[in-house]
Amino acid sequence: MAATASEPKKVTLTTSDNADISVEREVAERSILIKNLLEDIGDNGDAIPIPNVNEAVMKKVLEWCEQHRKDPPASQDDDADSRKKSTDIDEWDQKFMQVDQEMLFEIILAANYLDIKALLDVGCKTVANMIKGKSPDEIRKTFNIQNDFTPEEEDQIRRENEWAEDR
Amino acid sequence: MSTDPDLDNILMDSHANRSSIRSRNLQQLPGETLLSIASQLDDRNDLASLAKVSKKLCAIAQDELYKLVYLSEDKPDTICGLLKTLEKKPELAEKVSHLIAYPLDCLVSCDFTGCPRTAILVQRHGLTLGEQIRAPRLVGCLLDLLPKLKILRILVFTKKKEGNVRFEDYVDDALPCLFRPEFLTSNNLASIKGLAALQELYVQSGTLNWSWCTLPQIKSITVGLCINFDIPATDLMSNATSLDITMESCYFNHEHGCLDNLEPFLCRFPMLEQFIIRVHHSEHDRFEPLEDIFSGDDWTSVITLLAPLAPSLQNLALFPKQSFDDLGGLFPIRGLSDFHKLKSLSIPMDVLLGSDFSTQNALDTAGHIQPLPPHLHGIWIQTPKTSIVVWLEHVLEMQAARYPELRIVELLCYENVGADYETIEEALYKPSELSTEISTELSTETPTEIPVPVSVGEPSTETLSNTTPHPTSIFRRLQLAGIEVLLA
Repeated sequence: MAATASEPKKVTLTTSDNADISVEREVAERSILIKNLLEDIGDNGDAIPIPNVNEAVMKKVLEWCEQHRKDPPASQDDDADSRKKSTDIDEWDQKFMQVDQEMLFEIILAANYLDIKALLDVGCKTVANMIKGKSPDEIRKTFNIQNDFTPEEEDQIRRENEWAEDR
Repeated sequence: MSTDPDLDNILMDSHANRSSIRSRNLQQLPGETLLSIASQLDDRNDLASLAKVSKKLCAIAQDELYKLVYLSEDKPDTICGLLKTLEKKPELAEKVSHLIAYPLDCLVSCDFTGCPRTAILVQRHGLTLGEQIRAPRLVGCLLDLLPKLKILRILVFTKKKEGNVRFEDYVDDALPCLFRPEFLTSNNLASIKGLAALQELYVQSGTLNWSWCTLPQIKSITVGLCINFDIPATDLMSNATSLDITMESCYFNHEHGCLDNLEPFLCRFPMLEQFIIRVHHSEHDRFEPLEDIFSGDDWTSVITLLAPLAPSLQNLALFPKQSFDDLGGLFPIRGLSDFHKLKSLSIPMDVLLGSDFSTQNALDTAGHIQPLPPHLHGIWIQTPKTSIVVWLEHVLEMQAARYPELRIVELLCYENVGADYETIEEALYKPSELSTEISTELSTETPTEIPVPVSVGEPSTETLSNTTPHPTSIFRRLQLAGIEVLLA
């Protein structure tokens, strides 16, 4: 490919808290939502409103998109059943996900809304790794979840799934 | 939408709230995101723990947990518990798509008071309430509750008076242990809810019961350590497209009669596209001398047994046990050219070319090289010897026009069997062996684009997975007459 003098194409995203973020189109298009928007409305230079994501989260998400800009697109056939169960996360992504829980869930929600499947996957794997090996109580503590079972219900759930437990 | 009201509520709830609530708690993530988190938990203990955290996470965890039900031999009582769970929450039965059951054939005490549906089910299966029930029969009842079951792995262990259950102690035929005799015919077996939609079966048994083969949706059958094939008296055919048989080496001969049964058995599979035979060298015949356990002849005559499959077969793989090449006296396999649809073939070099095909006499015997299937895309040659280069030259250079679709030849070197990787590599580069210049490209990556001929899921047990030696991970690619040759 011949090198051109022109700058890479940029787009502007307006976040929920009214911040404008300018980003290379290729990076922004890691989001299928933004990619489809740009294809549908055409790139007329107008800022694209992203009403569900605030500036701090959007910047974090774009940092991930920048790092993964050259990744091959996800194949269509990896549906839920055939998807490999692997909680291996590459090193860069692991560091990237070392954020507080609030930011982690914000990233997951943003990835879901913006339709960035690979980022959503990394987020889900990170949460799954936080669950692994923990008792129900430890899971509640980790995620600050109220136990809404009565003791009877708790006992019933234990009996329901007894076949699955071996520890 | 699923059939689970709890789960549906969660999914609806999260759809409605997604845009209005700024969620910062795990439980406020969208339902489908929680489901994909749960799908990353491959230890069922973790899913069981998650189910106990809260009502919402219970529905999420159970949705994942019940996709795969695994019942091991060591806790037969859990089958009763599971039947009772499914009585209370019938929607969970609809989630089960994969059942692994290795019941021990022992008596279990079950109390189904307060479970009217299970009581009716148990009676339909010819069992008496209040009496002890054999664990495999309870698995039979369970199978009758799972309408979405696609994959079944089954092995029934026999009870020994003392000591632990040993892997080799399994019943010859699992089916009569699971169901009353009335269910065992092909027609009636399909009336079992969990078998009506079954697509993949992995069964460890001495005899492959024919009734498994005629289940209406069955596509793939993997049978471990099979020594006998049940030949049906009727003229029913199987619609299965994939058959993977692991046989005990001591039965892999005509003397035992097992191979004689194989041919009429295979005649019943007119749709078969993939056929794999693995020969397993089990513990208990370890000390028998090799020449007693099967003769080399049996491998080269296998192809005549496979003749009924010639019109439909696309993938064929023959995996002898590892010590195979110690046997001499093999003739080159004949009749491969009749397999008009065959696209991939995995075969030991000695079976393909005969055990006398050596570098010294190869040029004399080259004239007798048997033709390959005409539409072959790839051939995987196991345990090659250095004389393989003569064959490569002959087939790929002189006969390349005969096989216009051939793209890949892969040489699979194993440790301790056949020539080692370095020797083969050296032979490939010796200028006197190959007249044409070879363009090479070193690669340590696994060539992912190659269609691996044998993949019908994982083997059902550890023993099965041990039957095929693993190739070394280094790959060298070369191009020969436009065909990619891989050395692994």
